Amino acid sequence: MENPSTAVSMELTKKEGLLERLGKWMPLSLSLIMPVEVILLFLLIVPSFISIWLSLVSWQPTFGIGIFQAKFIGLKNFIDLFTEPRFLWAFLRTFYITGVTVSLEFLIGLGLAVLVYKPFPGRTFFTLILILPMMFPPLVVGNNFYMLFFAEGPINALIGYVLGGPFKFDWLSSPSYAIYPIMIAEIWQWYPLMFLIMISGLRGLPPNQLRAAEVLGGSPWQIFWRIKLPQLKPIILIAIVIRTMEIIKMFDVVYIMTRGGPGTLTETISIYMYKIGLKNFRFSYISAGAWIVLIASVIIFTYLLKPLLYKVEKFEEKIEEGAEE
Amino acid sequence: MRGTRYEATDYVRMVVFIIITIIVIFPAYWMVMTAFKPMDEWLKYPPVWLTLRPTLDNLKSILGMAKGTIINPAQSAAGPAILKGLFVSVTATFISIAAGCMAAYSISRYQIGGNFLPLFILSARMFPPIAVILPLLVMYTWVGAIDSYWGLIVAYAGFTIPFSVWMMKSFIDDVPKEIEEAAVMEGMGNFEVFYKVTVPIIKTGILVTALFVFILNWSEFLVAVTICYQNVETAPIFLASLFSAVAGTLYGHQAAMGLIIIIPTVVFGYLIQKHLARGFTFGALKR
Repeated sequence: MENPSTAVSMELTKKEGLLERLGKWMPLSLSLIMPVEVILLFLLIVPSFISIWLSLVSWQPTFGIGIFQAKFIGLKNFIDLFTEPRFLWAFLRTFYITGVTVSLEFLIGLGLAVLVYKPFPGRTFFTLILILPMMFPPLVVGNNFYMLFFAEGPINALIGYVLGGPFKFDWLSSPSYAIYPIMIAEIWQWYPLMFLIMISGLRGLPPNQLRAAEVLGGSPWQIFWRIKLPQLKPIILIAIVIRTMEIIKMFDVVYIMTRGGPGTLTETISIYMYKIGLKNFRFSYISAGAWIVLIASVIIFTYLLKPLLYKVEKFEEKIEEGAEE
Repeated sequence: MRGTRYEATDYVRMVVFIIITIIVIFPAYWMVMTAFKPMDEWLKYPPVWLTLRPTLDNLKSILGMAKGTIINPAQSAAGPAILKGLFVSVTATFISIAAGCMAAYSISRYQIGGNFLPLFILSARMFPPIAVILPLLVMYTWVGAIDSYWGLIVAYAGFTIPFSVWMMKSFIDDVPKEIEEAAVMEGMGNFEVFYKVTVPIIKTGILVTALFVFILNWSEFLVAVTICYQNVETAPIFLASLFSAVAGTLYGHQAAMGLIIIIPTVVFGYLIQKHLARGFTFGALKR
């Protein structure tokens, strides 16, 4: 080890770069976090304040005045939104789509993960092929399913083969069925993520406990329900929260496949806000709508996220214990 | 698992997986097949399951290389859109990674901002982008960033920062602190430790995160379609414009464009396949 005085002299003679000088002026940790802070300030914090102001006034870009000259109307935008059926339906529909697709994705992902858990010929190959859909951009997925579901497309042809006659049905312009191709597209694209998460969850389970259960004569069924599934809980929760977060924002697939049509029957929150905000230019109205959605999702996620963060820590501790045993 | 003896049930499972794979792969197969179909087979009923006359016409006319066949009069070729999209995505990825890496180090090693800051960064991902876009548009008109490259680049960098910070944080957390402490003992300054010790150790992690963020930027559509009008284009915008032009009749061209768009995402996706779960769960899953 060097003696302290030479270390100090080395420190003094060393040429100081910009970063070092910055580090002396500000603590290191603060200067490192700065770029992210600046970007977030520009993209999140300032827009939030503008958005709050917009939601309380009556303003459209077509008015030809600055946003600060706009008339203050208090909570009128919010009240109007809560009494507009189209908005409320888009809201409910988004949660309906989220509920159905997330649960189906989860079941498919978990089922497949359980099936590939034990080795069989070609396991790696099939695993790799099955995660292909998640590498497609959502817009391309929408395009693919648009081509599959049109009236003379392959899906109808297959149904025709099963029924034994030509079958032509325009899925995407049918009022009661247009939503299903959208859900199928969403499930097709994102079950692989659930699948991957569940595989890594199953592989992370402490092996000793499973072996003990086997030795003690537990059937595979019992081991799955009593030991594997309860231990997977935190991971399942992560997967569901993350998928919910993303599906609530769903836009690309719907935009390509139906544009919210026929009429407004497949509009999700994002599509609704896009149409009213950017096609009809009702900026302040939609800003208010955005805050309603934000508050709703924050409420949902604080309920889901708090136990999540705690449980993830617990889970990792458990895995470490399992590895040490 | 070399030398494993398989039982009969394992072969049954293999057959089950062959069937599942065929179902799953079909939408992708259909796109690739349509991309190579001649025009008269796009809309045939019953559909042409396997074209016997594969052609490159669709790809050529999308890229503006075919003579005489214009996609449609109002439409330019995809070339500029692809190049512009690449430029924007690569630049935004670079910014997002550089800023994200530093922030992740600061969060991981100095716990800056306690529990609040990491969650605040994550919250940027929780909000529907459309909620941020309207005020952003107002702001962009003030600073003249509408339909400009830097406007789109900054937006992309910002929207992917939660991913780059959290993913990189999970990589930095894996590095034992002792290595850095040893470097400090050797007389390195704190910054030197960061860029001469930590960054080289996690360079695979940085590359993985960069590819992941690039995929997100390259596929992004909503932000691009709201900020861009004429000057700036990305590949997804071009694909969507094929729809609005002549609704539902350009299947071959749409499929060809889809094929071009997925090439980088699928290649990079498989390169970082082991880390995809980590990326999408913001580093919560490390295997």
